[in-house]
Amino acid sequence: MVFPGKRIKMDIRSIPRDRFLAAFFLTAFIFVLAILLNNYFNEIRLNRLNSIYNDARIDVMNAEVQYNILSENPCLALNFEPMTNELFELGGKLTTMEDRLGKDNEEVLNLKKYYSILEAKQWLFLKKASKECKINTKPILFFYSNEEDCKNCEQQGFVLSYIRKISKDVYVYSFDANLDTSAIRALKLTYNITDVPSLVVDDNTYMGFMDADDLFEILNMEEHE
Amino acid sequence: MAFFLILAYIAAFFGIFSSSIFLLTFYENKERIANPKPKKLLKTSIIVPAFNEESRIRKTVESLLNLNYPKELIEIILVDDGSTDNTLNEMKEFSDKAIVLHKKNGGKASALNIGIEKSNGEIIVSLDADSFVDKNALINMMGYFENEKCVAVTPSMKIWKPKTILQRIQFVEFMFGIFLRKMSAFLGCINVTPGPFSAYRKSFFREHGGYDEKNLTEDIEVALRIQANNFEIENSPNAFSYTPGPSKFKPLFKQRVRWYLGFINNTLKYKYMFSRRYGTLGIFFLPSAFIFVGFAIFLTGYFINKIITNVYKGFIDLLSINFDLFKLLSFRFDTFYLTPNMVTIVTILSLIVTILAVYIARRISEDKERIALSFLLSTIFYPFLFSMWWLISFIYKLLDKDIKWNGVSWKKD
Repeated sequence: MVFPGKRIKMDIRSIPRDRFLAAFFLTAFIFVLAILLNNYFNEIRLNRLNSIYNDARIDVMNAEVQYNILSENPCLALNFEPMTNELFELGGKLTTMEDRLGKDNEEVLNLKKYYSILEAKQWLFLKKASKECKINTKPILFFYSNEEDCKNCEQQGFVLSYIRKISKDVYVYSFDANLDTSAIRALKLTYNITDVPSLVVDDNTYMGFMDADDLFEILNMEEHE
Repeated sequence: MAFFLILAYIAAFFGIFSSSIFLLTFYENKERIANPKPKKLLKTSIIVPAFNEESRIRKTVESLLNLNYPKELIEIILVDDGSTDNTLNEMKEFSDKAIVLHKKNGGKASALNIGIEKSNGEIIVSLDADSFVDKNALINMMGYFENEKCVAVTPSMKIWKPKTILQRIQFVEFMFGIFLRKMSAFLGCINVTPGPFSAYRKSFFREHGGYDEKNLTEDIEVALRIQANNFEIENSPNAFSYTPGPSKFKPLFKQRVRWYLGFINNTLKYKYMFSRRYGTLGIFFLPSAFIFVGFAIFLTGYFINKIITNVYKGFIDLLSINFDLFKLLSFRFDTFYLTPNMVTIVTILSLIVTILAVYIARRISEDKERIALSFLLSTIFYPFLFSMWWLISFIYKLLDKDIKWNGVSWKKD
């Protein structure tokens, strides 16, 4: 056997060009498949969001119409539960879609706008009906931002979810303060919202983060009501 | 966030691309996996360098004595590298069947070189004193030496009866390594001839020098030297050698930092090989090894950072509700949150590719050991361990930190 004293070009093993290309196309195919699957699942999710939105809208309208029809005794059949639950569910799912598709996604933005209008509508109805029917409800308006400028907004959202779980009388309506709708503009103007997070309880505005104890105090709640 | 996401996609693309190359290589060569039959068996000297291996050397030597190979064609050389325990006496018990040598402590490479010097075989096989071999390991390798350009043959290493979590993780890693090494052999890019039972033509050492005694990983150095001289390194997928694998974190960590630091040092030593002249090894394997490691470190770092941030955030959140956890423990099953996103889809695809590779490795290495639990443990922990070992190896390199191994300091690598 002969050994070369210095490096010489022998029969070097190389990946054939067609295998490189095949691997590239296979990988590209897998990625395209992944993108298509992802889009397909997102489409399904958006459709579900739309359907939940429609259900929530119908529930709010139903409650309003029912309230008006039963003008003699509107408080008899008043039940806030279904519509508020639906709205709450929609809110959670919108946040997920916002994370997945990005907060600038047009479809998500549109749904969010509809969602805020629906929230405002429900809040107005809840306020009015609670007053007239003397039902003890504690609606909270929560103004947040999901831009970098609000570090405590997520935490505030967490505390509010907790409060909502503790008390059935608490209804939280969250509004993205950066969302450009006339309803949000009107609310911000009415309650003088200049910073986030901000909360409105009983027509009083509270700027800055509030932990559970602070909220118990302003809502006149015992800790484990 | 977006930057890391893009980086994750590029890494996934690169990972799937590399895996595709290996899988396509398997598909094209699946008829050639089996070992070629040897026409002639060559006289072989098996060298076992040992430093403080009194508890394991016996099993190692006994496995060599049981080799299914003509006894007159085997020469066993046991080299005690200045052990401070009873290793030499253990070796001496085999002095009627093996040559026993003793030298001052100088490291594994120097012990192997003394063994080569004293050997009479045409083929040199190294065997770490903590490992042992299957009885057909040697004969399975011999057919490859029919090809004159083949200078070395690597074995298929397995972790022997894994018990601890770390051993189970290594078990899957080694199994994956069996697939990777065989495919690398087809592509001509094996970059390490491991201590547990790699075989070499003695003439290579004669012509190109013995093991590099100043090298942290002499097995990587010699493999790259063989490749640098444009010879071939083959792999026998069923020449099994077994090693227990470190069972505890610290020895495993030390082993890996030595391996990876050795890889960094040796690729720097042979940096001229990053070129088309060295085929797949130069233009694909060596560069992609570093790219892959880079991605792994970045992404694991990102992932760890995310975990820490979320844990901290969770703590602050809970603090603001006075840790009233029970109220939060309501869970509603909703398929909306189950439908996968892009990251999940790519992760699942990558996992499928890995499972496929491990499945092929099990098939070609005829392994019967149960693997499901080990695979699960590896999937969870290995990426963290791998990235951490590599990151620390790079830090060691940057700080020019010393490593002690087998009683020898390696700072002047």
